[in-house]
Amino acid sequence: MHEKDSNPANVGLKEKSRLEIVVNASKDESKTEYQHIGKKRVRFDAKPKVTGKAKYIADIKMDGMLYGKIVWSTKAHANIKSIQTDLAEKLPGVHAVLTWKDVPRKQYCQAGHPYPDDSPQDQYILDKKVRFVGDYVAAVAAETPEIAEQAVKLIKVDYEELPAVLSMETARDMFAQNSSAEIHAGTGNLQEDHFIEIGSMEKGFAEADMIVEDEFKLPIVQHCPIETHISKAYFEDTGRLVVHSATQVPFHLRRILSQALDLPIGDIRVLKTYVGGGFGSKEDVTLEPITAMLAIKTKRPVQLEFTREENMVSTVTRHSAIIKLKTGVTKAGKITARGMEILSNTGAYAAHGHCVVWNMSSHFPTLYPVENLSFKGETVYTNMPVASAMRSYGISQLNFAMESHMDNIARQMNVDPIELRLNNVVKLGHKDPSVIYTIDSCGIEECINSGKNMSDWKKRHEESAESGEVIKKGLGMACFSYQSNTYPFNEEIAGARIKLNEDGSATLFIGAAEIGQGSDTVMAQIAAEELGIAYERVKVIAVDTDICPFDFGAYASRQTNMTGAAVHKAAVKCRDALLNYTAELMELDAASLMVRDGWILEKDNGKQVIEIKEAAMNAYYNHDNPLAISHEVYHKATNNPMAFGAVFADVEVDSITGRVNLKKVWAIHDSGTIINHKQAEGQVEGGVSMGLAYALSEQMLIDPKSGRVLNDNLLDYKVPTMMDMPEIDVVFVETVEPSTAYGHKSLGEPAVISVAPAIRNAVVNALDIEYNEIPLTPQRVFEGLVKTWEAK
Amino acid sequence: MYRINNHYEPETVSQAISMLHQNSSLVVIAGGTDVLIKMHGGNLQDVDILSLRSIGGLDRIEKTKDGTMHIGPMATFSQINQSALMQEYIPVLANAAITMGGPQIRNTATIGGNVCNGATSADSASTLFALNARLYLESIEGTRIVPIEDFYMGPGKVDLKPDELLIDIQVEAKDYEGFCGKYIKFTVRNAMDIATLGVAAVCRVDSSGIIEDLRIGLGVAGPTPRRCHEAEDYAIGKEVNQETLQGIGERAVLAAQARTSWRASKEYREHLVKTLSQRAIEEALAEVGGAGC
Amino acid sequence: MLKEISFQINGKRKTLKVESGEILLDVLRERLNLTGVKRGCSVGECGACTVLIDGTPVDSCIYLAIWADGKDIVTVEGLGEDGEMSSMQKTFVEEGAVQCGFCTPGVVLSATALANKKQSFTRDEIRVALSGHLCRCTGYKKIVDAVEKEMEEQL
Repeated sequence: MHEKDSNPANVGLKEKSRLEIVVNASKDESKTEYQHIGKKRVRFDAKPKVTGKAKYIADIKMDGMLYGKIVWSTKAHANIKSIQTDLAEKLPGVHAVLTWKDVPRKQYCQAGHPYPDDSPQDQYILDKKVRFVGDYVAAVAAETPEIAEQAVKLIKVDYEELPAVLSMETARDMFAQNSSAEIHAGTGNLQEDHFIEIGSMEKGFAEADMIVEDEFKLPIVQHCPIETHISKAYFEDTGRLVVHSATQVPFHLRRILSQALDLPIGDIRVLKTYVGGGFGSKEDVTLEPITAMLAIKTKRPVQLEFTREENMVSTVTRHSAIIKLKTGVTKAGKITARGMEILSNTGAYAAHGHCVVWNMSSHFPTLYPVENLSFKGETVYTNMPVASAMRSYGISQLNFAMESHMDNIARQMNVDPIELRLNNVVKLGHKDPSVIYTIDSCGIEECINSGKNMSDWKKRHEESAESGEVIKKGLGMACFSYQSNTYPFNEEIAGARIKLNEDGSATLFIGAAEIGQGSDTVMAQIAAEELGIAYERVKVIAVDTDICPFDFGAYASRQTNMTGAAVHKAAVKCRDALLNYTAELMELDAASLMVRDGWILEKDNGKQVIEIKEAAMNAYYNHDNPLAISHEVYHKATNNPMAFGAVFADVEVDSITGRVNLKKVWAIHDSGTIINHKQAEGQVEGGVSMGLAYALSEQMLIDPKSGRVLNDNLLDYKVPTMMDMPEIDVVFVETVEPSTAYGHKSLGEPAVISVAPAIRNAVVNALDIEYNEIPLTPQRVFEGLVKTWEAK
Repeated sequence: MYRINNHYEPETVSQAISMLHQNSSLVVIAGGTDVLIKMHGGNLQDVDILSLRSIGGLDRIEKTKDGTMHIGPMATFSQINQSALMQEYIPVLANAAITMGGPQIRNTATIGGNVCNGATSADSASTLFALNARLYLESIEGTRIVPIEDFYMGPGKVDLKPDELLIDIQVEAKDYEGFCGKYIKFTVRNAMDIATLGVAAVCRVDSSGIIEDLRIGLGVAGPTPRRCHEAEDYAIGKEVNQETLQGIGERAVLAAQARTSWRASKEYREHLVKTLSQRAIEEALAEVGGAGC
Repeated sequence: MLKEISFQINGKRKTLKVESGEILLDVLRERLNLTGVKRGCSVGECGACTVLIDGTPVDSCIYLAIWADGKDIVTVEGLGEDGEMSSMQKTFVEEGAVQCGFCTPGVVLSATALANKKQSFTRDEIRVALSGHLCRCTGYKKIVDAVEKEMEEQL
């Protein structure tokens, strides 16, 4: 039975009063002692965006700019025998036509990974071989998009077709063979695999009263940022290459460009300005190398902007997967052993590939720690679009399987699935034996219980069968844990530099990537908090690899955790420098001073000592001993705080047509202290929309014969519209994570994770049919219903 | 930039048909939401366009004294949805109009373009089939009247000669007065979607609950929109009850020529025809209590 | 074939020569530098390129520039006065309805057209009116909140 944790190492909840459950931003923001943390602060890039003044890459014109266009492979797997480019080259207005002969024969991996990247370096900017329909074949640069498009049509490619591998099962069956269908020589189409066993599975299963096995199937989905992938490349006056890209990883991009282009890192400058959404897709180096090559060849600025169709097929996708789970459980509902096997499809190139599966295996033991567990992961190459990073990095797949499996177990045991979860869920203070996480703050039980109350779980879940004859009602839930960076797999760092200006305003330089999630705003809040100045007085400069501190970028929901820590430290250093200076000047004890509301105050009595702007001006222009206040600080990860959450979903299913109507979602998150509630809610609500589409509508369909993507557009690929959204209640269970400055944890990716399994579990609750494959399109639900009709 | 050679904008129907007569390769464009998308996809290029946008009055929606409803082919889906006449007399079509695309598309796309494009998924088609709509086609030879059921000849193929122009869509009083109707657009999403199946049912039931008349139009149940004549013939004279509805559903499937595509399987589409045709009738009757259209 | 067209753009008269095949989206972005008009799909499936033509939201990616002759066109740059945001724009900012911002100009224009009807609309009606815009970031909730709030205040 579920008992309240009595672990003395209750550090995360050390002050019971600081655990707040905040429903729909009803929090009284005046209660906290902070000036900016947790207070309403309007994102400062909202005004330029809402007035159309924000210049995204496509909005910036350059003199003499050429337009790039790609010749895409029309074959799933083929050697290129020849490419006829002469007609295209002769077309007036065409300035360059590139084939594999014209680019460095340097291999790289497109994944925005840290260095050294041990992923297969299996790509060239252009290659002699194509590996999926939509692979790069050739590129042109021309004076107008129309000429570029015409030139592309004039290029004739002669292919020698090879057998194509168009399903992951086929790829797996070929491991042992060494056939012409090998996509990358010497791999047998196995990109990577790994196996972990902790404890003894034999012993664990022997202790179980029941063993439940399931198999789940997950589709390929695509990120669909509304801004398609785009980059510009040009040369500075000095002849140095500038690549301006809608990227999540400016510094990784610079390093990978250097590798692919065979140029020194210092000879490349990467710029990132406004980015129209990423969701992981812009964590890969996709179109930048070829854009740069076109600029190198033409010596002119080149812009390459993908069409929606190109973006769907030729950037990245989320891995499709087949996941098998086997769990032993006692009559009392305690899990004794759990095994998982995953087959993951990386498509034509490794990209983030098997790293995503590594991430799954690191999260596998976290939510429900088990003494005996095994994990087997295999990632295969296929002649399908490249799969790589997407919001949650494998955990959407893992969590869908785990949380659907939990409900299947509960169904077989005839127990409440919430009880089963509470019996096994991780507790505060838990140290994970395999991956060195410690759980230092943990609100998972509060998340579950809060959702249970709000959704009227007991009544609604049990009474689902009593719904109408046609419309069946169902309530489901699922929960998750998720990291706040990539430690300990990467020794990662993040930087921040703050110039406290002469007027007491601050310029904050960061290498972190604002891509719409609001991170620049949060960083400004943190700087303002520690500097004691108005939020509006912090100006964020990001990202120019020439002037901004190094950072890994926007992934692993790491920026508030990692860059936030660097900003915090840099701001503290600037503040301390100013306080020390003031103390010396005014013959006070620096330790007795603090900053707040633009003033330096005496801590004890709040007496105003000097205005920050006056002190700063004084420091810069001190006649004898001028002091410029500027600090650059790097934060290195030393742990990886776990965020938690539970999602509850209320559905109505039309038991005649199979159509699922999602009525309401409760998303309850323990992301520690919330720094900006409006933005945090926005992240969660957006996560709900992406997660519900994973459950119900989105899937990239590929012709099993040709390998062509059938639905490469936003009509046939079903991103939710405003009318597909349920009512959403966002709730924050604010634990205090002791390792971060304000007690905060990750949120961006967590938002999406448990939405799909919660919906799936609600549909199962409504229909009493186990669906183990998504999306639950009306036809798929119908096919499940047909089986029950036939059985009757 | 679309590859359009010339763009002509006649200001009257007679100018337009004389231009079509002189150059039958002209591509007629109304709202542009189908033609321009074809051009974006490269399926149509280097063409001369004949735009109907400058012809006044082609977007009117009016009811003549004899009760005939005239729907100008240039009426946009938004106009049809918001037309007071439509809402009062043929709400089934007004309601069908708002299921099409999203608001911006509905503000541009026209019913005439939708019909002449010849798609089985056209959101106006099932309802116009159920309403026995008559299409007035004009050329320099004169006017030809084609019942909508005869207009669709194959996927993307309609009975419109290269020199003809659709100038009016008419629904006669006998086909809507006293009828109630319902269009069900079955989709995965709730907006901006293409129908997995479209079913329009219009029916007239007497005070004792006997079906006097019933017409069912289907979209996406075959290569072209179609009517369910067997189901309709079966229904007339029968009382509205579960057995009758079931009989209608079973016979509606006979009209379908569904096939399996990556969008939906044959079996599923047939199931939807069978069940949604019944549901459309039930909902039509429920919405108006069985009295009036 | 070049044709001279004349239209109102954000309150100013403009005369231009356009090719038959020119798309309104391109003319606004490339020739008039109104880059608040965004390109998301080019086929009317995302709504990022929405502009108001005679007050009505239209996808400018599937609208020929020639057709703009004689029309009154408003882009996001035309909202607000004297460099101030319009009331609708301000509410979007305040309510957190903006994330990556790429869909935002189009959504704000559709919302403005709706508010200009000076009627009251239910939350569901607002969702229908704005359903022609795909947003991948927000889950739409704060957008609907903003529009609902602004319309209540305007009435």
